Amino acid sequence: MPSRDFERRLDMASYILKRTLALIPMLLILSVLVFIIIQLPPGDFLTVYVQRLRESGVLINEEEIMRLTREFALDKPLYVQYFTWIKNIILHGNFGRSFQWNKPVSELIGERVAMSAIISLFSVVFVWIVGVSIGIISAVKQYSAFDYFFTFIGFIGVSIPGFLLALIVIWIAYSKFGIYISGLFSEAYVDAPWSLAKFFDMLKRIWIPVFIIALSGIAGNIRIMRANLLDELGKQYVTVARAKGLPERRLLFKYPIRIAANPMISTIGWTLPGIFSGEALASIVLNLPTIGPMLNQALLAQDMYLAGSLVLIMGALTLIGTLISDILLAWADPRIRFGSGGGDN
Amino acid sequence: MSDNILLEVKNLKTYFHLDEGIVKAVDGVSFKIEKGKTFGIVGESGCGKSITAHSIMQILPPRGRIEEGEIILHRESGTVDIAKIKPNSEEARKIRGNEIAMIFQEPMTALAPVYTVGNQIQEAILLHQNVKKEQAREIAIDMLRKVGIPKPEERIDSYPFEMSGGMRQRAMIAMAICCNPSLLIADEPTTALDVTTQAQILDLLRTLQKDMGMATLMITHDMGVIAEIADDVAVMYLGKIVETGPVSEIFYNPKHPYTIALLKSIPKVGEKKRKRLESIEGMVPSPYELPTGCRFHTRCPSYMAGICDRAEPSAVEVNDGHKVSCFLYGGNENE
Ligand SMILES: Nc1ncnc2c1ncn2[C@@H]1O[C@H](COP(=O)(O)OP(=O)(O)O)[C@@H](O)[C@H]1O
Ligand SMILES: [Mg+2]
Repeated sequence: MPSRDFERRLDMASYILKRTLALIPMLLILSVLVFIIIQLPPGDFLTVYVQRLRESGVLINEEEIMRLTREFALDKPLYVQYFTWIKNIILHGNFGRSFQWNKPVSELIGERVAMSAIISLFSVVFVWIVGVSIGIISAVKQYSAFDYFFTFIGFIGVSIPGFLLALIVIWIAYSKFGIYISGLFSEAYVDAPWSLAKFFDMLKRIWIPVFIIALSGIAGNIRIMRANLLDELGKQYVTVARAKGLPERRLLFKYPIRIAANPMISTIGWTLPGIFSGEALASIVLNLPTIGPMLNQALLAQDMYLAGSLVLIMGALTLIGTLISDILLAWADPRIRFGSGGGDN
Repeated sequence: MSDNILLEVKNLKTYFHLDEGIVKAVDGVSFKIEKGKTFGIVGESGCGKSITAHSIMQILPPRGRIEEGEIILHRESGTVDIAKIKPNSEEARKIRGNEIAMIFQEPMTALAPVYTVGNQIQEAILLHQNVKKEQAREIAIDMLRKVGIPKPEERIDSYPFEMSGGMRQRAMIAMAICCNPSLLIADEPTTALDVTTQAQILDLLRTLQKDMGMATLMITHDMGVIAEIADDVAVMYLGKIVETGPVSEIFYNPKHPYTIALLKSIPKVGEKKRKRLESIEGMVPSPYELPTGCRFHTRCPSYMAGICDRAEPSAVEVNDGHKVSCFLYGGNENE
C-alpha cells in the first residue's frame, strides 16, 4: 500500500544522501594529494615563475609578485596555502596560473573542455547505441551469421590498440585518397572564429576520431552486452515470462535485456572523466586539441598548477561519475537498493 | 468418456538438432488428461518430462522442435491441435498462461529480480483479461490470498528476493492460476523445497485444483509425490512411456521392470532415508546413442537376449486402462 511505497522512496533518498556524504571525505583526500603534487617540484611556484621570466629576459613587476604572493598566500605556512588554494577554487573558480602559457588555468581549460567534451560525447553516445544494439542482436540470434561476423569484429576492436588503428586510418586516407587527416579542421578554418561553416567543417572530420575512439569501445560493449544477455536468456524467469504468453519482443525488453543492461550502467560513471579529457592517445596521434595532450605537456614542463588542476578535475569527475553510476544502479536494481539479503522472511 | 478429455497427446516426438547429433528427447509419447483430474509423469532426470511439458506450452529451447504428433486441446467450442500452431503466434500466446499455465522447479530464479511480485502477476492478468490496472491489482491480491500468502495487500509490493523459497513458489502458483487455466502443468514444483514446505505446496495444489476444477499435469521424479496427488500416471524412460495406468494399478500391480525398480526407491514407513532413483543398476545411456530395441534392456534385470535388444515392444493393455510396453507381457507385433 502507499505506506510501503513511501518507505521505499525514503530508502532510496537516504541511500543517495549517504553516498553523497561519503563523497566529501574522498574529495578532501583527493585535493590534499593534488596539493602535494603541486608542491613536489623544488621551490614554490612563484619563485619558479619569476626565474623563468627572468631567463626569458622579461622585466618583472614587483607589484605583480606581491599580488600573486597574496593571492596564493605563498608567504604563509603550507596549510594556509592549501586552504587558500581550495577557497580560490571553490569560491572564485580560480585554479591558479599556468606559467607555461602565462594564463589563468581556468581560462586554459575552459577553451579546451568544450572541444574535448564534444568529441567524447559524440563517441560515448555512438559507442553505447551501436555496441549495445549489436550485442543484443548477437545474443538473441546466437550462432547466426550476424553473430559470427560481429564476434569477429569485436575481437579485432578489442585487440588492436586505438593509436595503431588511428595511424592505419591516417595512412590509408593519405596513401589511397591523398587526404591528410590531422586535426579537426581544414586549413581554412583552423584559426577562424566559430561559425556555422566551421562547425560543419568539423562535422566532416569528426567521424574519424569518433570512429577510432569508438571502435574499441563498441567492441567492448558488444562483448559485455552479448555475454550478459546470453547469461540472462538462459535463466528460468525468461521461460516463465514466455509461459505467461508474453509476446517475444516485449518479453526480451522487459526482462533479460533490462537486467543484462544493469552491469553496463556502472560503466556510465567511468565515461564522465573520459568525456572531459578526450581520449589522450587518439588525440595525440590525430593532433586534436583535447585535454589529454595538455596534461602531458604540463607534466613535462612542470607547470604544476595546470597539471594539478587537470588531475584534480579528472579525479573529482571520476568520483562523481562513480556516484552517479551507483545511484543509477540502485535505481535500476532493487537488490542493490534494499541490500540483497535474499532472506527468508 | 471422450467428453471428459481435456488434453490428448498423440505420438509426440520432440527432437533437438545439435552439432553433436539428434537428441530424441521425447520420442512417440501418447497420453490423455481428463478434466479436473491429475495426471502424473514420473521418471529419472533427463527422460524427457520437462520437454514434454515445454512442447505442450510451445516454449521449447531454440534448437528443440516438435517433429511429429498431435497435442489436442478440447474446449467447449471444439478442439485445437497445439502442435500445429506457431509458438510465437497470437493464437499460441492466448493459450499459454491463459488456458494452460505452468509452474516451474526453481522458485528462486523463476521470478525476475527487478520487478515486484505484484508487477509480474498483474502482467499475466492484463495480458489475458480485459481489466484495468487497479482491477488487476485486486485480482492479484486475491490470488496471493488464495495461495496462502499472509498480508497479501503488503506482500504484493515485495520483490522476489524479499521472500522465502516456499513463499516464492506460492507466488508463482498465484501467477499461474490467475487466469483460471483449465490445465496447470507443474514441473517438479516441490523438488527445490524442504520437506515441510513440499507437503504444504502439494496440499495447496490439491486444494486449488478442487476449488477451481482445473486439471493438473504433475511432473516429478518422485513416486512419493505421485502417490499423494495423481489419479493417473505415466512412467517415462528415455523419451518413451513404458507403462501407464491409474495410480492404484501402477502402485499395486506394477508390470514394467523399470516401474518396479522406481517403486522400490520409495521409502517404506519407518525407513529414514529416501533412496535415490539412481539405485537402479547401471547408467542412463547417452541420449546420442540410444539402445536398440527396448531402451531399458541395458539395465533390465529381466533382460531376454535376442528379444529385448532386437525390437521395440509395443504397448499392451494388461488391465482396464493399464498399459505396459514390455516383451514380458507380449507386445511383439511391433518391429
Ligand atoms: N536445451 C536443450 N538442448 C539440448 N538438449 C536438451 C535441452 N533440454 C533438454 N535436452 C535433452 O532432452 C532430454 C530430456 O530433457 P528433460 O525433458 O529436461 O528431462 P527431465 O525428464 O529431467 O525433465 C535430455 O536428454 C536432455 O539432454
Ligand atoms: Mg525436468
